[in-house]
Amino acid sequence: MSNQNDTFADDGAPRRRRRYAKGRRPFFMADPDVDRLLAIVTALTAEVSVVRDRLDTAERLADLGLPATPANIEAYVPEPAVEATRETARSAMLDRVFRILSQPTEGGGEVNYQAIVDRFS
Amino acid sequence: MQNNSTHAMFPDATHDEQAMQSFVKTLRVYVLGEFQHTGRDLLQTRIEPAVRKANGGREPTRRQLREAFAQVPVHRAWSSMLRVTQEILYDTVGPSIERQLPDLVSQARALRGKKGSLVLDPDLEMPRYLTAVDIHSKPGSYQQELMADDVFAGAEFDRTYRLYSMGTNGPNLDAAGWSLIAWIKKTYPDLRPKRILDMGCTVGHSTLPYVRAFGDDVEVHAIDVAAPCLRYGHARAVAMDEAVHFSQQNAEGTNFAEGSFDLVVSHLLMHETSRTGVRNVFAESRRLLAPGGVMAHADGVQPDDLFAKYYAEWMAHFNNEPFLGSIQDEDFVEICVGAGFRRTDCIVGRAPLWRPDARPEDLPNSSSLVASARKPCA
Repeated sequence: MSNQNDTFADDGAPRRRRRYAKGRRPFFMADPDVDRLLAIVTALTAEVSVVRDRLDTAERLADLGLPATPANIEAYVPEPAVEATRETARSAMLDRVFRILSQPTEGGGEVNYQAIVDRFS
Repeated sequence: MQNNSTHAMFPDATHDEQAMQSFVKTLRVYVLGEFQHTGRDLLQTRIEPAVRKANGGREPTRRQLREAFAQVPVHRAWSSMLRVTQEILYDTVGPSIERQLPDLVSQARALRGKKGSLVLDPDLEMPRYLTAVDIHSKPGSYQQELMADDVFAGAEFDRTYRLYSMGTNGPNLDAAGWSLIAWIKKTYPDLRPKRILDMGCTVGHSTLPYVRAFGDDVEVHAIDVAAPCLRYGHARAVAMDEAVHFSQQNAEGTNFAEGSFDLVVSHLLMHETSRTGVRNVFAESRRLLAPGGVMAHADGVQPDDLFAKYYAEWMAHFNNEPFLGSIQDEDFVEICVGAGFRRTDCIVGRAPLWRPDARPEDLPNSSSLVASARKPCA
């Protein structure tokens, strides 16, 4: 038996693509809702990044004396140097948004800190 | 609209689609970098010493590594982020391909048969290891079809692979092919293949270099089980003015006659099969080789790098690549011998990442395992 799809709509219109992969959706955090929240925050960060790029395009069009119409925005192709600047900005944003995940947790916790409090009290 | 591609079949992207995809690329660089950097550090300073101690000095198993890493909160967070990055990759590129799918299908139809060929087999049964889960967590995997003459999975793969490989595979995304070609030429300097088969070709990224690498009179065939990838791959090859004969076949058992090829290759195919599948692929490769012919299967197997082994285990368990973990422990010489090759005709080596359009110092210092064997001359 074939696993492939054999019937399609008569009007030739495509079926909708699937959004979720078959298999297991793994969760890693102590509470899976934290995984879900990380996914939401990451998706929102992507949205902010897109708005930032679009604003940058509008500003660069203005520099060229062009209005930021949808057509002008679609026609705009960034030079490699512009793309490199955007890349740096995206990286820096990720570094700020997810900063807490990179914080070292070793070498000094609350026990040590309590000793410092006691020493200066 | 931005295209930024080397061929006319490449899907386009609106301003915001491109911006989102560029973000995903940066996200992947960032998350994978942190996952690897903090992970290697943890492995060295805490996990390997602790597990070795408990093991009486023996190297940790893949499962022990996975269980030990799962105890570390910061690593759990980076694992969560790595999975999210993979999901966002497809949720970003997918809608963009879906929007232009009817146009892409029309373009592929117009290019069909202009150069090389495409033979599909609607009755081909998919191997179970490719239907049990969606490989790489790609929704619909590589074979799902959304309309007649569909190319969705192939077009999506061309764009996602470009983002995913972060520039290292070159503008034509063909570094895996060039790397294996360089290894074959070095290992078998006398080999002059006239007929070449690439197994598990997806859209032919690695296939195309073989058309020119061994001279002008070479016939190159490429097989895969996924029709949408083959349709796209054929149209892409035509758009790039390269002649490749694509056909929809399972590498475990093809319809080519015995002794049809002088060179049988694959790139990142083995780990997408199964323990039984890879053995069948090697036996089929041997059947297809003419006397004096060579098979060479390349894959991301790194038995000497403990963190890479853990990463393969991670992908096997958390990114829908079920065989990627245990393939790390395979003895490829034994698989070649089991397929009927003489032990003295088997070579397991490593092919460094290489492509002719980049200086070696500009490429990452990485390599693939190559499992190779030669059929004796008659």
